[in-house]
Amino acid sequence: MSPSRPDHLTWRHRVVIGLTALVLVALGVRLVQVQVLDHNDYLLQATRTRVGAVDVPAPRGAILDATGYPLATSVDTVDVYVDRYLWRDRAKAFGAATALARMLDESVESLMSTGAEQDNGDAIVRRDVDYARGERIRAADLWGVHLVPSSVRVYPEGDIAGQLVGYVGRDHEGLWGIEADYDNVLRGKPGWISTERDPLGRPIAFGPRSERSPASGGEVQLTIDRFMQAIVEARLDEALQQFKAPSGSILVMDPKTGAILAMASRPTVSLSDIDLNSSDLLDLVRNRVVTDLYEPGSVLKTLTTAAALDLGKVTPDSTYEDTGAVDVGNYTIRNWDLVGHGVVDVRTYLQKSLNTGAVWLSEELGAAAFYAYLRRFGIGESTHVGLAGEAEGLMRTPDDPNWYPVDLATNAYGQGLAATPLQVLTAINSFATDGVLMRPYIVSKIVTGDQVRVFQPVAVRQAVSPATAKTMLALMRDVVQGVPHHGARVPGYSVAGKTGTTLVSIPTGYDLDTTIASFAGLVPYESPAISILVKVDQPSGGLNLGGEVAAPVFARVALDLMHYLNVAPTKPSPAVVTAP
Amino acid sequence: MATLQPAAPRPRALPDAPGLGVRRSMGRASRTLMVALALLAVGALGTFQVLQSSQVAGVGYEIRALERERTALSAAVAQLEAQVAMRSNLERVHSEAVGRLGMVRPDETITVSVDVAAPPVVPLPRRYVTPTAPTALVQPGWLERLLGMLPGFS
Repeated sequence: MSPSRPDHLTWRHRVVIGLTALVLVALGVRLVQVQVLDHNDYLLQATRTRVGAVDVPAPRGAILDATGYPLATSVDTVDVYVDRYLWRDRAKAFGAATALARMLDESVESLMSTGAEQDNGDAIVRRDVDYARGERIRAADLWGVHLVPSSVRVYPEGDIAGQLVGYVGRDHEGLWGIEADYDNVLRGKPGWISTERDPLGRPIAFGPRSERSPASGGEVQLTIDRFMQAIVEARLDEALQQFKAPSGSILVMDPKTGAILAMASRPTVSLSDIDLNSSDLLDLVRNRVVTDLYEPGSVLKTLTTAAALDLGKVTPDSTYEDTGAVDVGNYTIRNWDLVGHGVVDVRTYLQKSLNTGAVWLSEELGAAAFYAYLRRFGIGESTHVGLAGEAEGLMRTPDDPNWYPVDLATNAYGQGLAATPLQVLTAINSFATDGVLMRPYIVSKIVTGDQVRVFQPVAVRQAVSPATAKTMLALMRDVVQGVPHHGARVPGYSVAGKTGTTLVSIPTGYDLDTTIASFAGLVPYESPAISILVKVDQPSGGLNLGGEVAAPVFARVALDLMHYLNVAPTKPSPAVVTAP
Repeated sequence: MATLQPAAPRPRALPDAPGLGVRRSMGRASRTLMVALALLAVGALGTFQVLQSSQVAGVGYEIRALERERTALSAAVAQLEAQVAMRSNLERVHSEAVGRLGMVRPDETITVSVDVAAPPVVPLPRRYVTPTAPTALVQPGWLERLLGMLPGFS
């Protein structure tokens, strides 16, 4: 041993050993951290690197009409993408593009230019390719081409009930109508498939695999009947053309249950040719039957009369002296025909639709009782029909600071307050149900998986007594059947109804040249199968009264629907023969 | 001078105890047999494992193929449903009635009143495909039936 080398550990040895030990300990600690403490995190990262998950979209549920016909349904499709990173290999890309072009009826140049726009990332070359063709592309296993499952919404009945059914956007979310209101039911729950993948992202055949199956969206069945809806839409289009009116609505209900059988408004949206960027889209997709308010005019006289009858203030034979005008405060209210009719009973006042008669009844009732009855008929409150954007209505009462006594008088004949067509017809329906106000509904059934929710008719409240309801129905029958050549008469059937004509309100008051013509009625009177409200906005061309414009439309719609529903005629008619 | 010495006679093995040699040879044989059997068992187990794995992989592949087929069939069903619906579209029915069959709207509708209750109205079409419970296409084998009888295997 060299004398220069000590036979014991010097401080240098200790430092080296100490440092080495420190490094080893540090490595050990790090090892424990990686292998033990953060084991799961690193495992997850590693799994993410080699395991790819693909979302599997849930099939969107269908919207069915009352007969089970799909008004909206989904068809599976695929979106075709190319992987630009892989398509940097131009020779292989050209081969794939040639084959793909043949399958998609696309030019090879176009596909190649799409795939060469950038060096990486996926480029979509075609959306919504039908599933069978997508399977052929998948089977061809083309270089750098991959498919993403998708679906496309189809509307087999075309544009029918476009505002009601609604539309689905690119992201498969409902934009309006039932598609939006019941989106959470229709959309379902997407699934996923997780598989181990090779460096090119292709699934390894026998690698580990986990998946969650998508849960299909539920089906929403409506009370709307497509045959009735088609009839109503055709008749509405015809009427708007005939009376050169810019807009209008027709609502058909089952008065006994409150089910909405048809609901149409114009202008409307065309589902088959839609421009989602159009500036007037919001105007077109509005379901005016539930969102738009109008002054119901003389149709509301039926509610005023029912309230007075129900409280025993009058009977159908009670009379008043009609001078053609009545003063209320500083205002003079006149009949629509500006004529005094002398001694008039309740039946005649309704037949002639005299404003003075409505003012007389409102004075008999008093403000508190009058507004209480309107509330009982559902005026000024939501019907809870289940459609988005439903308006509650506008009605001032004596509790409001801007209410004036003349409001009671004008409200009695349907001016100065606003309601939706749905509220008005719902109120009228109560005359066919012994005075019970039925809640309108449009969804009859929701089926999700093995769960079925059936919606039953709901009675909201007793609006008037059964006797009053019966009397009102008879008075409304006399309005139509008691007036010769009334426009609302339907051959073979007795009709109970009431016309309405209102001036269009503008910021400075009323436009004396434009009207809203309406008619609400029930048919057949003996046992009403349907109730119909027709509203034509701003008719022109000489005719602008409810009896001239809306009543004939009502008659045409009612006759078509009576035939469709196979309702036996209730009146003798040359068109009715008895089998021998 | 070296002289050749007769080779010493090899010591003769002492005779074993009666039966001892037989036992030794039998013990060697049984050990060989045991080893052979063990090797055979290991081989059989390995083969069984490989066969089972390949069978599982094969069945898994078949399941994936069936799943793909089911998805494709579901898509086809949805497509056909939509096609049926589109073909019974009211506008198309109207154009077929007028254009192909030459039908016209009547000038007058005659209602015949009969003393018989009307049949229930069935406006067509109904829902096209009513979901039904899947039916077993293949009868279960004796093993499945046997296992099915055991508690917990149903």
